[in-house]
Amino acid sequence: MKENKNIERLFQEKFKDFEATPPEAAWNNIASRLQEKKKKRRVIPFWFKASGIAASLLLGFFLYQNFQQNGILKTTKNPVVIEEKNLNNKANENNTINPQKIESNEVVVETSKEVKNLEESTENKSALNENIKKGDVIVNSSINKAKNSNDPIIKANTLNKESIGIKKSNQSEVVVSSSSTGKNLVNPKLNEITNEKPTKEDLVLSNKTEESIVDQNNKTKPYQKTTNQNEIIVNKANVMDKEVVVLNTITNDKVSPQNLDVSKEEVNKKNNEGVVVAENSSKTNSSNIDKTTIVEAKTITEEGAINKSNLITKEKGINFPNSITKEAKEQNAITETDKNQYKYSKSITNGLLKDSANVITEVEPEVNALEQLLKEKEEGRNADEKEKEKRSKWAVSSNAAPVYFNSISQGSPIDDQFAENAKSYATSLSYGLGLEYSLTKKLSIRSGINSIAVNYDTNEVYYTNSLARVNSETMNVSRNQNAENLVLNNRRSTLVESLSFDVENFTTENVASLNQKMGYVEVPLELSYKIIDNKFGIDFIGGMSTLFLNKNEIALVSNGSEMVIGEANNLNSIHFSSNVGLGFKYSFWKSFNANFQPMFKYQINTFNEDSGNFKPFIIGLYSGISFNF
Amino acid sequence: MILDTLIDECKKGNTKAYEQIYRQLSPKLFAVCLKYSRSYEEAQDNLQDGFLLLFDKIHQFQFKGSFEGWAKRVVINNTLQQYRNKGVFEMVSENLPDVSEVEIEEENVSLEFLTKIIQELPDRYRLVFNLYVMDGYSHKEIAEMLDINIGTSKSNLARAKTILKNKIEANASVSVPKIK
Repeated sequence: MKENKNIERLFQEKFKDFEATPPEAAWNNIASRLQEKKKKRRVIPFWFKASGIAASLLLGFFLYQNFQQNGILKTTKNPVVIEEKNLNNKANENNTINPQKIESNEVVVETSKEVKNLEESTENKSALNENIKKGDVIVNSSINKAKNSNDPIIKANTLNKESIGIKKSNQSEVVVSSSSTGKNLVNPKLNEITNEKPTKEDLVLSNKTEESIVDQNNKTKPYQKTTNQNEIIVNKANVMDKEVVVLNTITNDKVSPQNLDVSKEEVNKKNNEGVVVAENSSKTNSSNIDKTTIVEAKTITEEGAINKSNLITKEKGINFPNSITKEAKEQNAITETDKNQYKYSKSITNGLLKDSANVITEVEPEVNALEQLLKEKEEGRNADEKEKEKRSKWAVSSNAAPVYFNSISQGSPIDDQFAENAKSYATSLSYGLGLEYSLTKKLSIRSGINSIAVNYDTNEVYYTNSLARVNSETMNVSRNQNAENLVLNNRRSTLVESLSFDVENFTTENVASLNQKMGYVEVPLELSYKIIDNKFGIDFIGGMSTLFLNKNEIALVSNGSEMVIGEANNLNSIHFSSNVGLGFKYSFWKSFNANFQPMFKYQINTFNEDSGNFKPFIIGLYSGISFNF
Repeated sequence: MILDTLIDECKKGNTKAYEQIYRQLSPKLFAVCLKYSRSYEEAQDNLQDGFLLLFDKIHQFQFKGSFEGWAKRVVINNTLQQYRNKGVFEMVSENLPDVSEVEIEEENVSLEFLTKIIQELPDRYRLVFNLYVMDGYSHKEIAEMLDINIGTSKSNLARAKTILKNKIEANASVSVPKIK
């Protein structure tokens, strides 16, 4: 039978109940891939737990640092980062001194001298490398490193302290160390400093042989180079180079727009140079200051090596013989430097040391064995699902927040007379770590520790100096010696009055503002209730915080200068706040969440007795990253 | 409902539940894959990937609407993604007259043949044709899914239909001598 049919309807009718049984192989493939996935999942948490905590710590720290450029966080447990910051500071200091003293003739001489020295040191070292066993090389080279690289630099130092060689080394060091920590992502300023004098530097650099430019420009393949400069990089700064490679592109991106006339190769070259000299200059610093710097420099090395040891296992499947060798060396370095910490890495290293000739082939089975151990461990643990459930109940988080401080009433805790004065409240920073435990599916309890500092100005305070001590009983300020004679007023006292009543007051009267600073360590205890809990989630948060006073200061700020006049005597050393807020989270990767939590914290019992009707509150916009485990 | 329980079990990671779901849905979903893919082998690949994606996302299923419909969407989207990754969507759009009628002898048109000629269509024609004709998506939705504009979707459909019509007619003339 023949008929005209709408083609769409033809297909729709024909395929209406179309079913097709897929081949059996299809399910087998799916099943095996599901299995694979499960295995993978079991391995991941181990790395992520450690790296998650580290990442949140780092993030918290960098955020803090970004806000307070010069403040060194004393409470942090990560000495490595602090040290790096110190190094950077040093480098910066040198940078600021140097530029005026550049004299072209000397500069060229000095630089070439330094290059020579560097090359000499490399030759020595590469000779050693060939002669001595592999295991020993690391030890020797690190010793030689210290020796060889110290001499030329110190020489250069004594000849001309402001030589551009040193300047260059310092500048380059900034690039390297900042890139190795990834700081330039957060802190572009450092890069700016480095790049402010590109033309001068490039003039000098151009004096070098073209060969070195060619050697150095291909930063991505430092392992394959056998020329002097790169030998230095590979052997001396092998800790840093991998990180530099990884972050190199980032650095370049940041650098090139600022140096329009400097080509990328030259930037690379600078970085390369940096790797070489960074090591030297850290040694120079160590000789200048004391041995502790060396120890701390080593901790940088360890940190780098640890990262690498993680990397091996992650890149397990891929064959990077060179990089693995390098990593093996670094692990050796760990055993040299610190045997107590990083036991995990040490165990790998011990295996490696047994047969260091076969480092490359050795690494992978070693790691696999470890993974198997881990798997067995994990399987044992995963036996019942509930255990797993229990583990994922915990979450750690880091947070940082701009904090807006204000009072819901007119008043002054300093003195009643300033109640009507205008106050300006500064936005400050709070940062800290949090811990969360889920009680039920919806409800979880949160705690943690935060540092918070607030300050505000009481404006239009008039002050004079009297000749005698002022009876300040009426004020809630314990004055220090500087301020014993200070008279504070909320309005301009008429000169006539003061003359007639108090001859001592016959001094000029100035307007200023009183700045009160309060710093706290905050320990929150809050409940959070999940309103939405998907990839994106919303929580309602309520609870209280206990705040421990750790900073109490009142200063008089006038014409840009500040004088601490004492501290408030009506601040409680412990007070509380009641907190409400919302938590927004977005889970961007497996167990990692990005959090944003606007919180309102009403302060209770901040002042004892006389609060001057001052009812402070803070609004903090907390953001951070949390990790579930 | 049994399916719901199965889904819950899947969310908990029960491997057996995965298999049951697969047994239940694979005939329908494989049919979808056959229509959307270039060949039987490719359909099998797409089915496997689709199911893996499905199991990966199963915790996102909120028991709103039918699971089958949801699963089908996942598989279709996964298949589209495959072709999207291969960058096959950069064809020029052309305007063609709409052909809707085809003269056929129904007995001579087998399902296998129709599947074959669908698979033989150029990638985007096939996807548009399937989405519009078989799965009832509008041109607007198709345009969004494939990241093309509505006009392109329409012209692709017309072109697909023309090709299919020609093939059906050619087939008819080959297999059965015309008695007109």
